[in-house]
Amino acid sequence: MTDAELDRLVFLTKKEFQILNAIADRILPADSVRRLPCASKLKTIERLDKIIPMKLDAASQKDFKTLIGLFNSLSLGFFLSYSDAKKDSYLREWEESGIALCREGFRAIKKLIVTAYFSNEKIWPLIGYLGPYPAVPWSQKDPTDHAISPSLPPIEHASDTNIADGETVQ
Amino acid sequence: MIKDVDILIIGTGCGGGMMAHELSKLQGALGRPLKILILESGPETQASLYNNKELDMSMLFQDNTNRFTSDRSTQILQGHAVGGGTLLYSGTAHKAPADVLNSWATTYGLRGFSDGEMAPHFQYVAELLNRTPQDKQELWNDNNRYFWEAMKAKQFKRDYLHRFMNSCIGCGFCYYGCRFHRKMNGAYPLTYHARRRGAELIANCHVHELFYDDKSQRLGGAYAYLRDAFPGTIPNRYPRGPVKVNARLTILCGGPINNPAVLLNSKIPGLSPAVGKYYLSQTTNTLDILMPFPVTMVRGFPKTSTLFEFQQSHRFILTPSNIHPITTAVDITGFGADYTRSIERFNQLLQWQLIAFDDPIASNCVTLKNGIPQIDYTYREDYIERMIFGMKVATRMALDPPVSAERIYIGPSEKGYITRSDLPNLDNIIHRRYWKTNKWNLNTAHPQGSCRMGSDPNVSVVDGTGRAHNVKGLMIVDTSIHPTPAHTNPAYTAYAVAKKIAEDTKKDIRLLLGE
Repeated sequence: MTDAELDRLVFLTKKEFQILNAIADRILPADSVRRLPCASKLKTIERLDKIIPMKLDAASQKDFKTLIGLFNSLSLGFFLSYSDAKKDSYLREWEESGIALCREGFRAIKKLIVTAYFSNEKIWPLIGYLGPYPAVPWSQKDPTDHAISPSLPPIEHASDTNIADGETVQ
Repeated sequence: MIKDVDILIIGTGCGGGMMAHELSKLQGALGRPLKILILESGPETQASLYNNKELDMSMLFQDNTNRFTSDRSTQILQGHAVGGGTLLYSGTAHKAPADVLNSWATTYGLRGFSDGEMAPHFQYVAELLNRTPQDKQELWNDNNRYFWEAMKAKQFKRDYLHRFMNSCIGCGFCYYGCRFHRKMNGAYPLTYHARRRGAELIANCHVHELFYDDKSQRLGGAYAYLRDAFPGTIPNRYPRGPVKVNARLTILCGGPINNPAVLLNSKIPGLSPAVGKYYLSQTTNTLDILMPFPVTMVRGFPKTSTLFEFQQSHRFILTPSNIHPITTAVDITGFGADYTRSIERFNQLLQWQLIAFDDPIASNCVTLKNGIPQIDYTYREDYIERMIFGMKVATRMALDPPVSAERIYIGPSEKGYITRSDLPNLDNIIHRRYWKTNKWNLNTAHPQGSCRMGSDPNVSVVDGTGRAHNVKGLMIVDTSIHPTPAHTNPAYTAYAVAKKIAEDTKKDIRLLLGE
């Protein structure tokens, strides 16, 4: 990723991006046998950077940043310089930890990474997932379609419209 | 904005939808217009919103599916839209077993809840919501077919599953809203018909507190906040801002987490100390089964039969399900090449669910911390052992002929999955010693309890008519009042209980309105 692209991150810092990218490539690694591209090739963390502000509330966003910081600091800041085998071993320690908080930390990071990866529609044909059910042409729609919830005629409550703050509706 | 109404219903799922549907029939019965207001915290949706994409549709769940127990061991899936959880489930319509209902009547002193007495209410719900057996085997997908054959081969007690639906086309996206309006739920027909009979619905309106009227010595109504509608959902008719609702009768139907959260945030004299206690999880373990060849699992009816063999003896059921890639990738433990290769074969996966039933324990509870609900839940030893037993049953069903799967992914196991060569040593491979919460995904779409029914105000919040002990003008009607788990998917039971309570309410409506 170029510096200009890193500058366009909306949620993650450059350091957080690099750590998550390295984790993502160990969770979903490059493998010549497989059809699936590795996480970084699919720009998974760039995608995650946009998903987090939409799907996590402010407290969870803060917790996630704390988690990434903790993950890095418990490797004494060396996670990025680890070999692939050492990275796997470190991740395994988190996954299998006797401390529930560490297991949860691993699971939370993995969940967000696989969410970003498998929500990418380019992956779906590669795993045999058919995706959304084909849309039904408008002309063939069930005639009750319009009647379900949206456009109920507000007959009984016509007088309720245009209510100002503090006004009582009788 | 201030509104004055006769009846305020908070929530639109099984309880709220049914109460609104039934009480709206009182229109005209009092010799004056009956004002019913329904508040829903989530948005009002329409079919065009349901794009069948897992990530996008997480918006229909409470906290975007990020609601967990305090220790984050268990994900709690709750609907957050008009229709509540009923909008986002398979439509499964299993009735609580007779012994469960009879125990509610006897152990908890709930009159009118015996199996025989509840029968007419179940019958009414079945007809209203078109309860339909999924018995046309020619329409089943491989997931359901293999499950049925596995039960047959083991000679297990089994039955076709019923669903609340109308000509399901098997698109495979029940959990993300039915784009084709085939599912019968709290939004349609229940809330819809209530509105046609004059009830008003305000979506995106989050109730945070109930207030007590010292003068009348009754609950006075609720404080809420109307948020902007999410893009793509039905726009609000009122401006964003605080809302006060003065109501003669308030019916809380927000579910087992939100109900106690609102009550604990309110100052209501006389309210039972049992609020928030006896929360029930009825946890689900999703079992991913890898077949040696491609199979159909996503498309087709989501579930068509259930294993009832162990419902009484070990208190769990097994049923097929259908889930999508993100959920699957979260469910399967591990990482790296072997993990990725497993999900790469997504179209070779069958998926079954083990749903196990827990006991009411006071310390499993909902509390408030800085105004945010906390769900403290501890898995008891016997519950863990029963789930592990269920996983062994499912493993043998999946790996033995006629299914003969390649492997089954099981959380509390040595490697995270089991193959056929492991079968002779299965008791050691799936074992309590491998049970580590937060290592794999436990979830529940069936939370119950926390405001339970009973005759003793010290250990229950409402009586058998849904009325709060010692608080006039307050009722609670949804799965939060179940004193024990329904011992199956709880929606049908919750609808029938709401119907029963609605009948009791109609009989006493003048009294309940304080007239």
